[in-house]
Amino acid sequence: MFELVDLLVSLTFYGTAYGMVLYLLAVGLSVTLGLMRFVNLAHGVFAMTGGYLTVTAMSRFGVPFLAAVLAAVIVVGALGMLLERTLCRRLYAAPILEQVLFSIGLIFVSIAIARYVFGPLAQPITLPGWLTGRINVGIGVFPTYRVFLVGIGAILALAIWAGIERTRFGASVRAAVDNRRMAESVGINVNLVFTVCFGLGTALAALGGSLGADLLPIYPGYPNDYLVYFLIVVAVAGIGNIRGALAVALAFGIADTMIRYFLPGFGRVLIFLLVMAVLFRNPHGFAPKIHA
Amino acid sequence: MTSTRVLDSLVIAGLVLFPILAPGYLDLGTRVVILVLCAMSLDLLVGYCGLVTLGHAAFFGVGAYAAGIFALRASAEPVFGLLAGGAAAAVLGIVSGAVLLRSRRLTLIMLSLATVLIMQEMANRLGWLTGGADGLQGIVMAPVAGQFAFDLFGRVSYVYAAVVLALGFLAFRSLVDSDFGKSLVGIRENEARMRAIGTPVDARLRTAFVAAAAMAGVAGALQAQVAEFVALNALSVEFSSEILIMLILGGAGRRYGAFLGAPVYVVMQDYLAREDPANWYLWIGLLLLAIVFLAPGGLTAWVSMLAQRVKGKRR
Amino acid sequence: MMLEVRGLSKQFGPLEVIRDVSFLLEEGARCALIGPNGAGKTTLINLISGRLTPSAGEIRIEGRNVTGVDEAARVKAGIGRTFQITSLFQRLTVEENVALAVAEHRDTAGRLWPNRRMRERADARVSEILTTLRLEPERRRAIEVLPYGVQRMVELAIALALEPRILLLDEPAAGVPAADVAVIFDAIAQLPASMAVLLIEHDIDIVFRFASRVAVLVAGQILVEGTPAEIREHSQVRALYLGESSHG
Repeated sequence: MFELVDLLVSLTFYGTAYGMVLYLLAVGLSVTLGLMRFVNLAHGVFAMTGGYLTVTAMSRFGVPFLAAVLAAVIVVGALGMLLERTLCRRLYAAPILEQVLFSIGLIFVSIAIARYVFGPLAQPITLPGWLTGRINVGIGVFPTYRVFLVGIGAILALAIWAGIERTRFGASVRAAVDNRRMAESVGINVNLVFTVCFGLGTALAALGGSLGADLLPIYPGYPNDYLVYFLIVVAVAGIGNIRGALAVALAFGIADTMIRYFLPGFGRVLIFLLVMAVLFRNPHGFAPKIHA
Repeated sequence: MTSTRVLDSLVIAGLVLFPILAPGYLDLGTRVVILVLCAMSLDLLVGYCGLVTLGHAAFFGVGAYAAGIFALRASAEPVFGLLAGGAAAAVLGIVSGAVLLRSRRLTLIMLSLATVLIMQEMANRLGWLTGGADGLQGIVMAPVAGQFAFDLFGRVSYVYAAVVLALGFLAFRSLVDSDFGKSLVGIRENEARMRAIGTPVDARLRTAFVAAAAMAGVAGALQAQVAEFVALNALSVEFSSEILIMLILGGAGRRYGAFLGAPVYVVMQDYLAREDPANWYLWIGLLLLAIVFLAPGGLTAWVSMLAQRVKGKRR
Repeated sequence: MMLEVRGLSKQFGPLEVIRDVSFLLEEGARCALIGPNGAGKTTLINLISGRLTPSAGEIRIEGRNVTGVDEAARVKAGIGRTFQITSLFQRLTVEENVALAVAEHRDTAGRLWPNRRMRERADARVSEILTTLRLEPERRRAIEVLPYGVQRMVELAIALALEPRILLLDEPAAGVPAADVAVIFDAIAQLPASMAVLLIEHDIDIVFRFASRVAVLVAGQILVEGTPAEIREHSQVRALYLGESSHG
């Protein structure tokens, strides 16, 4: 009996760590979708780029883990803002088909570049000493790396919440999401808000990609293979619903981990069917900020 | 436009003339014909209904497996196999449509991805039925209509596939020219307004969805029968993307997009696979970006723009 | 009784936009709905047409309770409306726009294969409607290239194509040049006598020419209802519109 409880606690914990990574990957997408209504299926490209940059900085230049992650996040955030200003912005009013094709094109180009520069195999990431090993967190002894993921995820979720709810910039974002024209007429520089948000979204993706590199290996197929997962988080939570994205990401991480453990024969079929059932009842997700 | 009658006839004429003009390329021709049928069925959803989906491979793949399994376990008669494939895909269309069509945009795309992944996973795991990762093998088809045995040169395959495509095209154009088809365009252009004029939008879209699924299923069945093999990657997101790209290359919602896009894509792919296989993704990616920013209507838009210029010069 | 609205309310969160509104539209009604901006007139139309679900209250069409019925089904039950903010099929031509509505009304859009005779009759009906609104010369032009006034007429054409028993017109001539206004109101004057028409309008002259009854909506509630003459004399309405007319 205790073994079962221990097992469930353990699975929940691992699921939470996984969910935190998904949250980081998905939250940026949720904001850009809610804000700009821009369907960016290439979101995974930024996560992958962040992962590659981190790994390269560490292995090629000997940069310590956290510094490498920080550098990757900054670079990808900047790249994201550049992409937004040059290309993405032209597609905000375009039909969704164009946006999807743009995303696919971007994914293909980045896969080609990744494969050329880094080869087709997953990048091995050597975690720093202080992240290896196991640590006792009261309810059990778990790998330090996973505990770190849970901790960082929680801190970032709080920071994002504070940023959205407590800062002026966050207020501008909320205003622009609710009613763009009104926000503009009140003097909010909506274009700047879009650019910065897109940059923040891509930076968060890079963070998720880098920190989660041990869970979701960095390789050229990354943007394709994991796309469906962050789309699930965004869709089930409701587009633009950031708070919900955390809850859904954690729920999904835990559910997926449990299903993989107890019913491995079904692979991903069950979790996808579960997602479909949830969306059948709530096609717009749980609490969308914008009605689709 | 009466010129559509002329163009439609040209399409049929093209199908008929191809084996005469290029008798050494029948295998390629058959492959293209099947892809045209698949892309045309996607056009119904993407081009006419305005529903962007990355799950079309699910219908193609299910049709392929159904036809293959049917040939192995029930009857090797090709036409029945086509019906089996179309029916299986239609069933999937009804079931998945019930979930997918309650959403739009990103959610719809995600659910379509999930559908393909579910079907792929199932095909992978039900190896006793589908052959698993190795694919469905050992299919041997009986002669078409009891008379025309599939030959080594691919002549019967081509004619068989081309006849199916021609019939499919006739069905497609009937649908698109009808008031039903026009209402789909209305839904695409302004769904809210369609509701305000009394259109049962959900029912219409579900019907179109099932029709598109069935047609893709027939394409898949053709593939299984002609190749006498079904590969697992018929059920891949990658294949879905390929069909979408073919359609976009030709131009979605423009009647002939599939007929222009599929051949060009296949020829490009064959050429690049020989000359520069490592960079296929790069070229295709750049092509897509070019289409998005420079030529959103694809080849059909480009051709009709040229035609307008020529007309203008004549006057 | 064509349309009965009883105790209709609509809340958006804590904001009550429509509060306990009741009124009746009999066969052949020519009723105008007036009121200041933000009073909830369009919201009321959205509730009646089914675009919005009420928080409370009941809507009946010819005695049948349609409160839970969706928008498309209500159109089949006899409601037609125009939109204050033009909502047309921009890339399609004028005749294609109207043809869509005719096809829905005649139920030919549910069929998968075309029928020549039905097509010819539908085409004739489209031409009839276009002629009534003097849209014939523009029939093959796409909406997006047409001036605003013409677009408003296409709005009306679509509603007419539905041959509704209850027609809800949301400021059909707002922002339209004077010449086109006359065409629009000529068409409204020629509507079938049995059709119940509810017109939202700001121009008082038009209201008095068109309406046999006027209802005044203020802050989500019906302030007063009566004949145009009664309304004109009503002190609160006068205060409202004396203030309104200085805005023009």
